[in-house]
Amino acid sequence: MGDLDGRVALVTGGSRGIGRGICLRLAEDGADIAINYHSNADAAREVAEEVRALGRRAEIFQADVAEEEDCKRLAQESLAAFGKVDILVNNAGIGATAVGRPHVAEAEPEAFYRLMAAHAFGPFYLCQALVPQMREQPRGDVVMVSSVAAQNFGATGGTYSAAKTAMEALAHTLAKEERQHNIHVNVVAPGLVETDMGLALVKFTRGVESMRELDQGQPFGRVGQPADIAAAVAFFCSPRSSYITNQRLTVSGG
Amino acid sequence: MAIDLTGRSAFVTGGSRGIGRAIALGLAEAGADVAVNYTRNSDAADATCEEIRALGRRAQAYQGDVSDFASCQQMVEAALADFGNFSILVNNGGIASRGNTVVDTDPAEMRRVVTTHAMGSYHMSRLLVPQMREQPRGDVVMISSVAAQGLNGRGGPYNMGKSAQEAVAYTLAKEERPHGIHVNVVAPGLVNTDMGRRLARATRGVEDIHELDDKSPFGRVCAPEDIADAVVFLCSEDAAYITGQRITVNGGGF
Repeated sequence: MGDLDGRVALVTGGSRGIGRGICLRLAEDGADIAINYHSNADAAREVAEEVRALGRRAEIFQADVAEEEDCKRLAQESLAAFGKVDILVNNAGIGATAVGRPHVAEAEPEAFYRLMAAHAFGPFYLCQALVPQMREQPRGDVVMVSSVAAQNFGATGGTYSAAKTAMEALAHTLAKEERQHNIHVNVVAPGLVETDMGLALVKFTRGVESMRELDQGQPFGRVGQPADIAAAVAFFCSPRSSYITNQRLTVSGG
Repeated sequence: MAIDLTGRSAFVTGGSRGIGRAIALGLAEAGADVAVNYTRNSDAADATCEEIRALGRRAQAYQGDVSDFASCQQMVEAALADFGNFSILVNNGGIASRGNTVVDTDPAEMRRVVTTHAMGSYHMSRLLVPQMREQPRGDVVMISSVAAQGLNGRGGPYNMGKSAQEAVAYTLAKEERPHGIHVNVVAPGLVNTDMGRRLARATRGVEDIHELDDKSPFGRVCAPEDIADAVVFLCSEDAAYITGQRITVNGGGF
């Protein structure tokens, strides 16, 4: 018996990194998983195999969450395959490093649009598409995977921080609007995590080649892992948090 | 994923009734042995200990006033002799303030309330944290209140006590992280306890707190077990990379 038996989760950006960790953890806890990926179908297929090895259903769905039409299609395809989606994890994102970590004054508008679309608009489209059917379920959960960037607002991260902040505003608004339907909306904010995106970040900001060079200086002597973030997401979706909504939990080792 | 605290011992202040009792039972259900502190009601403390033993865990009640350092010393000395060590401390013991404005509050009341919440948490942390450093992991959880974020009128002493208690928590989190000690805050709103029922009578004029269910988040007043669930999570492996954080358990607020 898992905490999430009988539930269906759609995880955006579920093929790699934190998203992969979330897919595996929710599956361990009993949920079937709709795995969204953007470009790496092979990685998504591998995650699906890992989920199935845990005895859960898994399907993969290509979509660019920055695109409204893609989000609508992703929601429809997920619902057609699973019958419902009662957990939505908005995890997909793009690091500021992908747009060269510009200062705000120097950022190309296109870079800003791109990050805003992926982090804030995509979750908005998906919530619009999936929350109405969630109201018919005994319980619904939306978890936004944000970032400590939305509390630190570091220089050269403006494109990313602004997008994550807009995403959190969406979460806290939706939480109040949908509570009467027993839909819980919460935010998990990771710090540095050992993923491709995290590695690109520290190569840029700290000039290191491997995360292992950083372990010693990190909280609790290690860089955060996708499983650490996934555990917080699983907590928010579990019966343990049945009276918790509209909250934000930072998972950064303090 | 089932939470397993087997082999750990917890000290819960104010553990005989209300939220503290639920936390003591929640930790015991997860496998921990529990020392239950109480101030006056030894029958209630004994009853809670019996319930813990019925779960197959060790339990012992200790009388003591957390606002008095000498009393804490005696209590901790006795409890360490019985349990050997404590790797979990839950600073839950507290008292309500009388609902006067700051200007009309008796300074003695202010000192009593602040001393219980802030100094009590400090006393117990000072006594138990050093031996926690020798354990594989330590956890200190402070039970604060939404009062520390609402800071409403007529709550001066309580607001001051809880805010100072949280300041102890966030400072301690940074100081003890190198020793693998996690320090977090759980902030309940209105909960169905003796204190909560008195508050509901005083501020909303209801004789039965369940008259508030319909207007409450998720259609019910918060139960002590909701708070215990958050505490147990924070002490678990699932929260291994979480420290210095605050979880509000109030159903998203009124």
